[in-house]
Amino acid sequence: MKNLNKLFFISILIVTSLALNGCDPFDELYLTLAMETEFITTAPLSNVFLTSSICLSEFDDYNDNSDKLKEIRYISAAYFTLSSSNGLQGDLRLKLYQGSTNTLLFDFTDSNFNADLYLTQPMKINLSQQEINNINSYLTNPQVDKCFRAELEVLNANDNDGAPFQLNGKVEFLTELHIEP
Amino acid sequence: MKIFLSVLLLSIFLFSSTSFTQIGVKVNGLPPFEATEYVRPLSTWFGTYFNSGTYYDASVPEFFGFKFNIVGMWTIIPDDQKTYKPNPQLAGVGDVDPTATVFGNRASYYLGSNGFYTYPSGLSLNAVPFGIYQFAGSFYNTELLLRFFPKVKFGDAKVGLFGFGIKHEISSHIPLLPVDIAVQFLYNNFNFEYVGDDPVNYTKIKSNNFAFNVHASKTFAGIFIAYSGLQYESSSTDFSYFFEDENNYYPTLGRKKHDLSLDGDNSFRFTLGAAIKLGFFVVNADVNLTKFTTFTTGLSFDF
Repeated sequence: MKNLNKLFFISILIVTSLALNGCDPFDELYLTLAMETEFITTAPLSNVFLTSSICLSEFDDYNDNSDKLKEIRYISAAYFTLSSSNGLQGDLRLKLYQGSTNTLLFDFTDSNFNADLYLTQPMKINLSQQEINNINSYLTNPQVDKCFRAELEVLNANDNDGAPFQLNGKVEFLTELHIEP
Repeated sequence: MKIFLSVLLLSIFLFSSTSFTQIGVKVNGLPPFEATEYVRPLSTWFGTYFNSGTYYDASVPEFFGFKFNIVGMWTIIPDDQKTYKPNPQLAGVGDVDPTATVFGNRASYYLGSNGFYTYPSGLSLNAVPFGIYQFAGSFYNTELLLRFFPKVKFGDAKVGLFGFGIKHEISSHIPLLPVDIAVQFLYNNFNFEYVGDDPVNYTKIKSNNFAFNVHASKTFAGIFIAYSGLQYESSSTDFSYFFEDENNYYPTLGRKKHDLSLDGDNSFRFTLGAAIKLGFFVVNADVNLTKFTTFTTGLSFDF
């Protein structure tokens, strides 16, 4: 009877352990990652043309989870003016490239750009489905770091004081990280 | 900075602060009116967890008895407890998609005047596995059950637990009743407090849980016990935290401690279970139909 009790309880412990280890309570996780890059003028410009680069590995949420990443997908982007010369206007053009290559991911334009307007509110960057697909295709194999090069240009620029012009701005890209449990 | 509620949950399970690698929970990025909805399912889970696993037999020894139980629980988190509808209360911000609660796995966002605000994701849990231990002593058909863990510091946190239950076998007053019937009252109190140096990580949780049940059991051949019960239960949680407001959307609320008081969605539960008694050892399992369906299994030393 004693041996039977012992065998019985060992069996219960084994079964419980197996059952608990076979039942994973964790679901897949989705983290939203906001990536920000700034365009800073270092000297007054006759034409506004600024570049910036950004890599996934600059962000803790990516680095902390890169080995468990299943997918990264693009969600949205927005532009903000940090400071500008008085009344700067023109045609804004924002381009995004794969890393240091010339492979264009998107080309966004706003023909009635007024820098002051975006000091207190964002300009949402609306992309076509093809452009979104371009970005998501580049982001496949998410465990490998990806870098981007952004170019910000104001064509036909004018302001209240005349050239030289100055513009400091930032673009935020929002992505979703799909992480295995 | 993050508060690690996953650390909190697992510290109860093992009463130790061994390494935890789950993703942290950033409730300190939420204004108080959003943090309330984010954390509310945790209050419900406290009520479910602390009011489970307290009986497997309505019979209480007539003279003296002693029990030590280890109870394991598996609580299923329903889908409607994994999301809530945010309302940031900011001019220019319209409808926001549902976002994760503390147990959820997918967060929402909105575009505000200072940039994208991303809501925190949750612990990404479909179920919560947990355990607890308890002692019980009985005299004259009345049992006192105790759960106690002194408030101890684990790293930057202090955790403590105290709970008791009083049970009386009312069928002892009714001869020839074919089943054993008992009534039981339960109270459990849980405390967690961050005591580290970083004020941004400040978190304090105090959970109070009450329950009253009637349960019945029938023993077959002195070995097999079938039992069932109906219980009314409630939970309330006082939750204090530091709201960081990194985007500076709430200047009157940000960079301050806030105190929230939450009631869990606990009310009634129905329990159905069975036990096997072999000498001084009992193994039992039951299902609890309540807001969060819970399966419990226990191993007891009972004489």
